[in-house]
Amino acid sequence: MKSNPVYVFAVHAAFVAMSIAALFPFLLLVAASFTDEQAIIEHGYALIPERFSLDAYAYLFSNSVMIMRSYGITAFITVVGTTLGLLITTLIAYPLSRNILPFRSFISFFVFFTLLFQGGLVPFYLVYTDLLHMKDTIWALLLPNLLTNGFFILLMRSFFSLSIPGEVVESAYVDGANELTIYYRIVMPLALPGLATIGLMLLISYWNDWYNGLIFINDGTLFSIQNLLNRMLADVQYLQQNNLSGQAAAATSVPISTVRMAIAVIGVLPLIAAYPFFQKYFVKGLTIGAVKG
Amino acid sequence: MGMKWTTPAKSATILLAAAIGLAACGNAEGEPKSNGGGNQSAPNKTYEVVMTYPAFGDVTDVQAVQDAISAITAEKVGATVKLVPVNGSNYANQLNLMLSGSEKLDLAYTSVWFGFESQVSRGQLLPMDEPLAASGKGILETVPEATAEAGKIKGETYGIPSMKAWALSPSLVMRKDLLDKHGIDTTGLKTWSDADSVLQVIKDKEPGVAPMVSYTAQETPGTAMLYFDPLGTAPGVLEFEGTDYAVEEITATDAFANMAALMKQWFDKGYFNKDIATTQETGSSLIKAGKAFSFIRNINDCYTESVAAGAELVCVPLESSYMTRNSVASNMMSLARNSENPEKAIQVLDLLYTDEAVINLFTNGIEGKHYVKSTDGLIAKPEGVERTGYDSNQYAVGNNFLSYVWTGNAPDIWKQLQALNESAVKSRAMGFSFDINPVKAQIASVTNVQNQYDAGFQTGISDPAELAVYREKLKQAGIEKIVAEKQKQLDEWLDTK
Amino acid sequence: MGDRAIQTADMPKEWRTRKVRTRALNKRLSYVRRHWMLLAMVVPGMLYLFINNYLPMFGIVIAFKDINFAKGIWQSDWIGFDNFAYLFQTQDAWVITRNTILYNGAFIILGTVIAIFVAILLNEVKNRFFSRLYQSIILLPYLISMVIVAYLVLALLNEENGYMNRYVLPLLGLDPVSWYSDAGKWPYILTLVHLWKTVGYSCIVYLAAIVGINQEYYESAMLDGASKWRQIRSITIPLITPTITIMTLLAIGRIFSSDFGLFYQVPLNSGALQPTTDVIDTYVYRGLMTFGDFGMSSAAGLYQSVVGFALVLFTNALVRRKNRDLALF
Repeated sequence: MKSNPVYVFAVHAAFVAMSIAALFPFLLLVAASFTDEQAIIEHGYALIPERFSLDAYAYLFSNSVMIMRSYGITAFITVVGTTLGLLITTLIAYPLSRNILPFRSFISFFVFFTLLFQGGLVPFYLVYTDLLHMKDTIWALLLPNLLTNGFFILLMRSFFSLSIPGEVVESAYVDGANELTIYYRIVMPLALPGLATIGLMLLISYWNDWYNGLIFINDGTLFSIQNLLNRMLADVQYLQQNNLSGQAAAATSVPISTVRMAIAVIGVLPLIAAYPFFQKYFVKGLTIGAVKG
Repeated sequence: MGMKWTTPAKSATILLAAAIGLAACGNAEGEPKSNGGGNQSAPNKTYEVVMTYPAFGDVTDVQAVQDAISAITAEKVGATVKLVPVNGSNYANQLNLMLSGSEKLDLAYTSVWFGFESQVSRGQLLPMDEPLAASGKGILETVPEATAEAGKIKGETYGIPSMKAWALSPSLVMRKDLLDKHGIDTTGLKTWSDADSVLQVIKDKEPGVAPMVSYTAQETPGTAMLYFDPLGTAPGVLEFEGTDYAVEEITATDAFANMAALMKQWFDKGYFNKDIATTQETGSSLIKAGKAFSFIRNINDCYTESVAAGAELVCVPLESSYMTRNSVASNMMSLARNSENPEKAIQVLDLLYTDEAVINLFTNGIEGKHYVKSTDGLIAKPEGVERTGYDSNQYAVGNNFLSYVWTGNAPDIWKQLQALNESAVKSRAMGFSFDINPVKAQIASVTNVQNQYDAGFQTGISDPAELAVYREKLKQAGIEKIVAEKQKQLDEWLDTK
Repeated sequence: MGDRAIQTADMPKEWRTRKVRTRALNKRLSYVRRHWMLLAMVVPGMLYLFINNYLPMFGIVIAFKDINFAKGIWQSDWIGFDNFAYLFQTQDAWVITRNTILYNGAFIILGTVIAIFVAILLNEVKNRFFSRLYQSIILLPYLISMVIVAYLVLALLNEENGYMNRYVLPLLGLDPVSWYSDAGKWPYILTLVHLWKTVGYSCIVYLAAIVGINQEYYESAMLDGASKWRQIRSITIPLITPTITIMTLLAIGRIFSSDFGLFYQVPLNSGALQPTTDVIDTYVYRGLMTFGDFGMSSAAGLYQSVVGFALVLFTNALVRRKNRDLALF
């Protein structure tokens, strides 16, 4: 089938416009991270640096050992967390999408309720420290984000009910397959676009998480990259506003505005690199025939 | 459909994976306590005093410092220390969490700015008078009695102030190079409005330089002009002059109206940047970038301001230096609810106030590694080392007057600051702390109203004529109730004095 | 229709004998036994939610207590609804509630419509390279933290050297604007920033749903000569309705909560903007900042949850009446 060229052009034009809107501030950010600090205070942000400077990156990487270790920790929790999260999410979301599941209404409600009601920070902290004793352990970075709450489950459930035709599951059932086999052999491959979506969302939430690190981790060797970067920024920021005689000189030499931007760049780059991997599955979603073959 | 459906191997894999996920929860639950509290199992081991405080900058080497301090404390008081520095920007939050569970913690840095009074009323801190009398002789001798009042609540000590510059001087801080360039004489500056003439010169002759900027969006020019004892963090202030104990609502005072009028005048004359109320750059960095001439701030000493701004500054105090409970109780050490051995904790704290070696280890690190001593007795970073692994952590903890002075400061800086502490005007209500509990709801509402209006008047963006609107909103939010409650508590406190 | 069918079949009347009830129970048990594997699959997730989400819910009692740790959380005094008082006692209560609902309402409607539109459009880009490129680029804003977004917005709106006042407004022959003290403009600014930041992310959800649609539907529609618009209206939209419904229901549940960073960081906490930018979360944060009261903050959280919960139950009932399969539970 041939598409109308005017139509194709209009679609591309719309996306070019959207891309500019999304890219412009981002490029501004990248440019700012390569600009001389004083130039930013004097003239504001500019797409082409007034005075080019690598000071911000030099400052951040003056502690490259810690940065590398934090990258490692973040990579670890992101990979393990995303995998485990996807597994548990789909394990509960798939049965929920089947209306033969016993106690289905109750389980749905059980999941849904977590979306709205939270105990609050203190009880959450107490469960992870006093009960599970996970303070200053890698578990504290991994577990709280696994499902976070029922959102991903409910979303995944809707993907399952949308993309898995009942007849396919029924016929497999008639053929003697058990539920676990059906889940693994039929349901998962068919739900690839949904899996990729939830996987990407989990990945982003793990990569960008600073909250759990902030409340559970004091041990510098366990800092995730976001925690480390935020901390480096918070420290100089504080020192610049509250002059402590011994350190004022050291702190004020830090190019804080540009460091802030460089941190955003460093924090986001690996995510951008990982993105195409997920995109494969959005476009491709397997067809039923392919699975049956 | 020629497919075999039963694939036990694969099913098993999935179950196994799920089991690992569960084991993750299970294991950790069964794990022995991984942090703190390891010592009580061995009775003949020395007690470990866990101390938490906000840290800024690089504290990678904290373990080495901790070991060095422990070596001394073990010998002198039979206890070791465990230092738990927490990122300063997150400290208030983290401390409240640590004080709400069963985490082992002995000494905790507290501050009126971090909700000290609330922590006491929530039962998160222990009274200290008894252990102090038993094992804190050095502390009691070091901290002046009048100052120690600041750490008391209803007559009982809950916090020991750190020894540092407590006096604040509301000052006009200006660039020396521009003063010299235009031959401006600052000796005639006596009141805030006198600054007008100086700012006008800069406005006329230095295009591109803002005559005055906010130090931060919170420390606008008008804030430092309000010369009162704020009596804690809730509304209701007390004048420094006079002898009565009348709590006033600050927006009702002449001082506030005068300040708002002066600010409006300055704003209209173009002395301020238009974004003065929401600026994201500190006054120091604007001066450093050559975009600003001056700011107004409550300062400790001029040298520190100069270092921060990277330029020589002239600081003209325009009110007498003062000392309030807030300025003293902004850095204290308290006894945490979970302390298992308050005696030992106080003994360790005592060393931080009396032992030169201990306090220097804590604030400056290990000699030769984190700093070097020069011939004049001042200290500096080791030659050519940018990151030492332990950034100096001054002011927050212990007796800073025992610590070494960093190069660049006057060698007798501690003497100067102590003299300033002596000579400063001291608030009549030093030992009074306001219990916010009866009026918490009103404070929450009033804080929001203040955030909406205060900056406008303190930067001259708002017309003083609108003050009536502001005051009406404050009234609706319940400010009268707060002020009345404060007056009531202050009167009660006076009766017990 | 699963367990429901068993429940309703031969509903035992009160006077019926125990035998009948036992039989019904047996029937139910055997039904559970038949589907035990499906039931077993949900166990890890439910266990997790129990530990991570339900255990901390004991903290809801904190909202009704005057917490004193010397007594312990359970032994602290009950104080009824005192902790909720500050949420309602000023005239600001009305302003913040209005702001919260209006912003969220606008976000839900505009956000959903635009995300679906972009997702459909993305699906129309047949060139795989461009499709991926566009998708990556519009996701970028989502990955940037709100603090940084606040600085980028400042770079655009800065009074003295922002892009708007320096380039854009002069180009249109307009006078510079004091953006950070002009409260009337901020509902538009914040809505734009929100959409800019989230559309790339939320359109992924709809894109995944669209990609999951069986191509055969479109093929037969094209054989019938259905136009693009017609195909979207009669195939795409109806088939992704479950996803739209669930996303909307979940958003309604959070209608009293808001993205704190957007409302606190982006307007730079400017007092002058408060009348149009203050929402429940920022009000609570500011009010409790100095003394950090657990009771009052959990009271606020509970209030937001309860209202959201009620609204979801109500909407869900409406959805359920129209189409059982679309309802959340």
